[in-house]
Amino acid sequence: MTTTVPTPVGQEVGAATPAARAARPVGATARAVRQTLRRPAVLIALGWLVLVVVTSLLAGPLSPFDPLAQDLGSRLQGPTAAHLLGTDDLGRDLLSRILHGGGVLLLAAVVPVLVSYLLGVPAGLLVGYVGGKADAVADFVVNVLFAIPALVVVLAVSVVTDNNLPIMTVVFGVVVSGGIFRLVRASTQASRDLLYVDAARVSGVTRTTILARHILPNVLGPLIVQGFLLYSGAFLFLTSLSFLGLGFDPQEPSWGQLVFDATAKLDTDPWLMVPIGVVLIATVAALNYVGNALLATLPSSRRARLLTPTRRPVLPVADAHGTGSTAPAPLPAGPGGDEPRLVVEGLVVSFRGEDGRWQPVVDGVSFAVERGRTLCLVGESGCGKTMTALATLGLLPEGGAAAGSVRLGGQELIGLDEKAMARVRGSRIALVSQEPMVALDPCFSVRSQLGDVVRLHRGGSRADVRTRTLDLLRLVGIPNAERVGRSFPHQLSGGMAQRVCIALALAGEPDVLVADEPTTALDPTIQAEILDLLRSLQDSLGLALVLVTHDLGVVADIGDTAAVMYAGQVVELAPVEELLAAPRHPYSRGLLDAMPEDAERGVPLRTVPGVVPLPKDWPTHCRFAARCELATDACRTGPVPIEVVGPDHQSRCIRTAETARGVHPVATGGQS
Amino acid sequence: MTRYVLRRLAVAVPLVLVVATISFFLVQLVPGSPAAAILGPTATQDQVDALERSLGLDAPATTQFVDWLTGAAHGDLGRSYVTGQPVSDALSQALAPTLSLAVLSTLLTLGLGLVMGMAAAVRGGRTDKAVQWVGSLGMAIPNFWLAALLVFVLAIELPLFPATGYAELATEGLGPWLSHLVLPVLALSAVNLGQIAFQARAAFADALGRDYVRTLQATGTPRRRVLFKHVLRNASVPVVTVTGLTFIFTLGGVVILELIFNLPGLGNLMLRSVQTNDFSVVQGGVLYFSLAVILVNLVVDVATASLDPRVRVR
Repeated sequence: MTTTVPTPVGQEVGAATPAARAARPVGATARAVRQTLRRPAVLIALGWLVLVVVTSLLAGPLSPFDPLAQDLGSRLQGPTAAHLLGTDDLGRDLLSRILHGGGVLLLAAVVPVLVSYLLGVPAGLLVGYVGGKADAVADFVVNVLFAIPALVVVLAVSVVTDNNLPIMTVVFGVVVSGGIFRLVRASTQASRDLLYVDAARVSGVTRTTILARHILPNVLGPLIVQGFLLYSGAFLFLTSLSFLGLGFDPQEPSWGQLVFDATAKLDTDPWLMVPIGVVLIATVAALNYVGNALLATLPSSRRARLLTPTRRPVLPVADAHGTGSTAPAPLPAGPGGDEPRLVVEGLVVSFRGEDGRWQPVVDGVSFAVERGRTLCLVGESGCGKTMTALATLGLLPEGGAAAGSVRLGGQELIGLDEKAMARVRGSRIALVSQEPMVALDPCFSVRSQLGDVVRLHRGGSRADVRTRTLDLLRLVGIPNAERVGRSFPHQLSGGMAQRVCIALALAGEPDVLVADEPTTALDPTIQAEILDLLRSLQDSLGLALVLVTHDLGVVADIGDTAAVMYAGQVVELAPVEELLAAPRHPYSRGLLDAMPEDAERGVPLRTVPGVVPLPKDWPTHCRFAARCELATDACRTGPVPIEVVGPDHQSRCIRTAETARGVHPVATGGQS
Repeated sequence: MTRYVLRRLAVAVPLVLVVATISFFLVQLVPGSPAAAILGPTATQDQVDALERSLGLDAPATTQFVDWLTGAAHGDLGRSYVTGQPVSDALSQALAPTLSLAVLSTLLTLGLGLVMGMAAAVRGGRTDKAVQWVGSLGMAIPNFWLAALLVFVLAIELPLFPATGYAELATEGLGPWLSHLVLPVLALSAVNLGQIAFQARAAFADALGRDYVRTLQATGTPRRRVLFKHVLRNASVPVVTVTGLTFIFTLGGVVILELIFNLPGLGNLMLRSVQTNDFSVVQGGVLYFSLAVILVNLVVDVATASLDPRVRVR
């Protein structure tokens, strides 16, 4: 069972950043466990378990009657003052029988857990670490164990050993050890190649020490949790045996046997079922509940849902302007006064935090793209580029909401419901995403996925769809379209997969194409090919292209206009040549200086020191001030509005006039 | 695909052999002679020896094993020590109720578990909470207690279904067959339903966060189709796999429920043979149950491979 692990607001939500999954601050698990153990429901469950154990230990002194003492004069009584839970058909006190009937079961259920750990942990560690042949052999053994129905084998064992409970529990432990083995092996394989394990190996630490000191601790959390659940299963299993009259002394009461006795009197005395039922269900439920609560504390990689909700969340009016620190920038007027193909104005994207407050991650972004032109959204990771791009398609991940204005060919998209938005997507605005290898459904062939979209947008006969599908594949530069069409996504290379994704995006003949880092995950040679493809498609189809990138080389290559983003805002909007020749914002200049293409031999590459602040840490004044070499006290007094500094050129810097004079202030600053 | 199925078969055959060996030697572990156990403590040594000879138990274990295995390969598992009936006949006669119970329960839990897990993952909020409660409760109720409750409510208080017994599908028709199985199937399914629903919930949560969901929606594919065609298919793969793993426990439950509902199946036969020390039937029973598990896992492998092309290359 997994529970919702909130994604940190402002991270690239849903983009499956490996860093976010791997990194877990030291002590976080311990803290999560402590918090879990303080929850009232968990406390109640633990309290019940303690009660059951203690009363079973003290069954003798606590019981009002001898559990075996028959009193035929008071048979089958319901609850009375003398017999709080009533009596059975021989007049024996039910409460005393329940108190006496749990101890052996609770104790015996420990044996299978111990046995499966003793077998599964060392074997799993060793096989997971060594791999190879040992792995194949172990796999076969585990397959055998998984092919053996536990109860049936234990039945057979009970015949052979004349109902010897210890042996039966040990055999059960052996049969279920396969699960523990697989768990340990998987965790070991995962941690085997971690850097610090490599380091230990290289420095000559013995295998046993590595396994015990470096790998076992990683496996410990899941193991403890699994132990809890395994114990619960073993307990239920042994209760079943006791119900079948196996393994337990028929003279002594035990919980399964109590149920068996009760079922015999079901039609006349259903009450007999109740007390033992409550005790059994409560005990197993408490065990499972605590186990699952602990399971939820383990680090998990829960992803945000990407499927859009049928009702998209709406930002409250108070939050619709983000931090509202500055007025939205005036948009450069389009040629001839016509509105450009895509206009984004005062766009705000916010995510709802754990406390219910809306945290903006995109804060009043404005830009416009003409037909046949390319606008690049540039900046480091965490500046809100991707969220801006996704918001234009209404495809924000779970928990996100957008406000402001996104107009496509004059139609307002913000506020459209999901159905209307689905009609816009694909046919008028489409998306090419970052990681082509995971962007296609692995279960369907290229032909099938592309054909579905073609049918959706154009309809037509099977032959028409097929022809169009192959045409699309050829359009994106796939020579052997037939063969690629038959392939499944996992059989494609990254570049090929990205071409298929572009074909998918073009299937509905959109006017606007949003490409989110379309080349980042690809080899450099393939990157150039994909950019060439996008450019030629733009020329032939007249697409308006919004391209998200962190690479100014890509901007120089393909862009007409660049919107440099920093901490959720556009800090500079300019024609690409102007931006490259004379940037007017210190952040843009910093990005330019950090381009490796322009680096001089022997001179260290300039970088922008520091990191992008998280949305929750955004200052109210200039957000770049902390990393800016030009920052003065005036930069730290209040919000900085974006200013028009030239035709089609805007900059969000109070010292922008100085940068324009051709002074290269950064050069005088020196590296910090 | 054909090659994949052949490869899985190639793994299954040695598995069957090993399991057969285990089921044979399990009984060899009996301290003393099975004949003595059958005849009881009052038997004389001569009687025991005579029975051993007539059952072929005086031969060396390896000879017995080879004989048994050769017989097993031809469908002959020897004769019952108690009734003298051929073991394979006794087992085959008991097969139908057991299979009916196990298969119906597996299909029910798989179908319902998928629906519950999907609802929980997609809708979240209260639906999610409700599914978690129902699943947790199901997992906490021992099936034998639930069986008694169902009998009390739906057979005694409201006589909707027969409390015990079995009706042959072939001779008595679908209605009686099904009505005799409703209560045992329900009692059997509760535990697994919780397991499968939780697995399905996790699988759907995972699939809903995959990039292809965004890609497909960006092409204008309607939300429902993304959900029911793509997410459902991807999420079913781990769920079907888990269904295969829980089948072992389903079979364990079958034994108990056959006893409670007095179904003439393999489980009841095993229990009876355990009580009468009928070792040859126990031996054959273990083999039959294990074969069922291996067969189900083969079906699961083929099913997952046809759902997900990546499985086929493994």
